Amino acid sequence: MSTEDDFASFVHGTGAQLYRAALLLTGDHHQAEDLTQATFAKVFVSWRRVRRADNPVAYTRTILMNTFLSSKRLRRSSELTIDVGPDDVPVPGIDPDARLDLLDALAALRPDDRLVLVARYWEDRSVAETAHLLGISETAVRTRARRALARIRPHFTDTVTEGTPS
Amino acid sequence: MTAPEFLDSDEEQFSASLRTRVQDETPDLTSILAGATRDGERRRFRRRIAASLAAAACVGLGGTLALVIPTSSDGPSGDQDVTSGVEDRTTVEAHGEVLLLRQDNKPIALVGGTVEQKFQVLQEISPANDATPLGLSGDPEGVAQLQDLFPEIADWNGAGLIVAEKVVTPPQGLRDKAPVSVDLEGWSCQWFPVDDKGACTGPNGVAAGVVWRPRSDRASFLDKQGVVEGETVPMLGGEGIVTSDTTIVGPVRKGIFVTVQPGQGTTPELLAALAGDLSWAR
Repeated sequence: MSTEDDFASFVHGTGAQLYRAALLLTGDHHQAEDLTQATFAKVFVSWRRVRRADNPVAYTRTILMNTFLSSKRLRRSSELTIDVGPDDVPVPGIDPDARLDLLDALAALRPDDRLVLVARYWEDRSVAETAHLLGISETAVRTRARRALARIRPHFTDTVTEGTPS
Repeated sequence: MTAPEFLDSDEEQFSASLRTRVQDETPDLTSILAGATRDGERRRFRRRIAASLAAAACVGLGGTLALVIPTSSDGPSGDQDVTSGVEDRTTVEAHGEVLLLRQDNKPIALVGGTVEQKFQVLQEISPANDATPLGLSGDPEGVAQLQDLFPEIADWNGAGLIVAEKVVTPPQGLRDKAPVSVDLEGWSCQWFPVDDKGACTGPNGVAAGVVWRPRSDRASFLDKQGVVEGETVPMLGGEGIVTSDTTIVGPVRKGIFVTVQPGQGTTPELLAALAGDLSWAR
């Protein structure tokens, strides 16, 4: 298989899951495709190195997360001491009684809180890995995750039993 | 990635909700692949230019010289151009501060600064297979001088020359490999040059981050982080400034600066030791 075919095969094999993570992060199909494409473009540049990595998929997911962070210009803010607010603060601009699509509820969160949730509960990253990714403490990860979950809990509690929202 | 940690019922439900919500979402992978390949080729090309410039800078640009650079190189591991599948070579010819790059003897890029201050060359480079003409700015005499030096660029990809409005010069330090290295007992770092950062693990599993950024961001970075008055540590041949969250902000070199940031379990002393051990990569 040529190197080009190898890369194409990797994109076709991993692209859907990567795109879904991007969709959860961005909340928008076009932005998710752009983020996925930008991620694969970076992988393309270093394809030989990436494919030799212990886990090319995990490496690519990390690039996706970092690309998302960069695009939201979160690097600097994520390095600041975390300002942790109370857990019962409602999502800004959302009626707390409204039933929302999960993507909309996620999109209403701060991007860094969204990333914590996606890293922890979609990618199954550990608290330590998520902390490393964001450059914050494990305590901050737990606090952010708890706070963000508390904020959007009213909007997702029935989605499992109700099935996929239209 | 380590094994998933135990989740409480809320977390498990949320995790299941995420999966349920997006399980049927399907992207246009053909389009993504085409776009990623196109963008990736462009990025690779620019890196090749940067590597060529760096190599030329090592030799010196005082006269005319020719360097042959394997274009398959993309960082320390030497990635091969995924599109070509062969090891092609780029020749760099320098006249003063201007470089002409040829691939298989075909001019593919012209980069650099000025010829007697009469023109400037756009840093935005046209890939070899792209018919976009090269951008130039300057007076006619300067452009004519350039064409005397490199006659083949007069008919660049059949599209001729265009006038540029702006010259953009990327910092030399922002290249495809980490600009710093660490050789401190008990510490190891994994570098992500594509994201301009590294993740370091130290004694007893403590963590720290190393990030490099354009010098233009330094003032605002320090302003945003808040500087601890009078607290500095030796770092990269200069002084590292300690900020309010114990991040250490290093001196500027080659258009970039490096920060060392606290992670899980680190202390200011460990961070200072890590920052003090950093050295500029060759």
